[in-house]
Amino acid sequence: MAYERRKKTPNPISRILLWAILIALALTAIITTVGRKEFGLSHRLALEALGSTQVVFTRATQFVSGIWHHYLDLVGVSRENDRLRQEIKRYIALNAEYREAVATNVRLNQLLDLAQNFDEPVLTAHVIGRDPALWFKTMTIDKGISAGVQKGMPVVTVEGVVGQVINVSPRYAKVLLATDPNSAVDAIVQSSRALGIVKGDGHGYRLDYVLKDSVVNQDDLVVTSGMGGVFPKGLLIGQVVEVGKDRRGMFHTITVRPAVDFRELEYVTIILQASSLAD
Amino acid sequence: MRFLLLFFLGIFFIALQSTVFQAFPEWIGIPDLLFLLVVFLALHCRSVTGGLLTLLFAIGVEVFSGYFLGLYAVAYLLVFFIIKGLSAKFALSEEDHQPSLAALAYIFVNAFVYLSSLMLADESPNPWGWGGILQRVLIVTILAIPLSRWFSSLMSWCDQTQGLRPFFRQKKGNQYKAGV
Repeated sequence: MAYERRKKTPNPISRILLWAILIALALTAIITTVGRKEFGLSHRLALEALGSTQVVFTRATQFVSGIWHHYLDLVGVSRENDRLRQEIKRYIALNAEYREAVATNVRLNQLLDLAQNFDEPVLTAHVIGRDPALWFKTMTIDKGISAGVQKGMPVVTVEGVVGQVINVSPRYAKVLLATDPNSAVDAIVQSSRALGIVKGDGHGYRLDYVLKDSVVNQDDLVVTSGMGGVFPKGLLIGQVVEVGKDRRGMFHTITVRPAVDFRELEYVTIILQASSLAD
Repeated sequence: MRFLLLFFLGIFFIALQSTVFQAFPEWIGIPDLLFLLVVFLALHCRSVTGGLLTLLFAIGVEVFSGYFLGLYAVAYLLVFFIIKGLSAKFALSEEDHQPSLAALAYIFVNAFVYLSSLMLADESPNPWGWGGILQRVLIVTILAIPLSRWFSSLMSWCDQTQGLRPFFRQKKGNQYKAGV
């Protein structure tokens, strides 16, 4: 015999009764909590459940927000970094310009002071080129006939003797450096007053024709004697590096280190005096 | 066009060698680009054009170098015509020969200028130093092939530029005959 399971159909009256009880309870709970300050059971349960959810959501939000803000910060930092780098570059360039201007000013002031030492008028010129060949020591300056420069005029700097003008054009001139073997400057050893002639040897100087009975020591200063009529008297040429001990001959063999650093020359002073030696 | 380009290139080299290259440390040396241009002229240009350019370059060098005029003019022209004469019989224009040719010619020019100065000057010029001369010969040897290629490509570019002048060329014949 088979039993058929009969579906229980809820009684409408009991359903209504159930809802009425639930609503009554809810109303009671609400009415009893109105005006209270402390959580009841329901509120505690709700808080526990929602609080946990809130924690999850808040942490997730903070995590994402943190990433986003970090990203935004990084972008900002990167941009600021670029900007600061550009600014540093600009300031470095500006600083270099200022330093160069100050250095130029110092050099020109020194040349101005030097100019006041001479009776003759002087002219400051800029070195614009150097001899590319191995065998000659010359340089080109940016002042020529139009500025009053003539062949044979002496060229000096604050440090000392540079050379002599050998060729001129309207706006430029070529200077034979004192280190060239074809250059000769009348000189005197400052301490012993021994006379001689300073000649170039390509890199430095040789002081020739100083008699052996003259006393010349290492580190003695060699200056122009003014005898040749080209360079004014007393201009520094260099310093004695070595006095040869050769027993033969009448003269000392003296090596002189130039006072001027020819590789670093930028500005020179031309003494505007006529010279007969150039020809 | 070629003439002007080579002329200004030579002037540029002279200016470069007497200014910018002078700031190089001594151990690097000064590359003589102008000399390599003269060798290129001797190998690839006609006698009159190349000779004229060589003479102009030599005058340019003399303006900035030394105190005896004419030495570089004679030296450069001698090198120009010797190379020109030899290249007519030997395959000197081939790339393999460029470094040795440039090195020998460079030593010749320097020796010529040095010896001439010895004879002309009251005092000898700076003493002949093999260190300095070999350094420059080495630089010339290293740069010979790359510069020769560059000069050649420059000449090709120059020719192409000249070829791109249809706007100034007068068209000949009946241009519409084929279309009729």
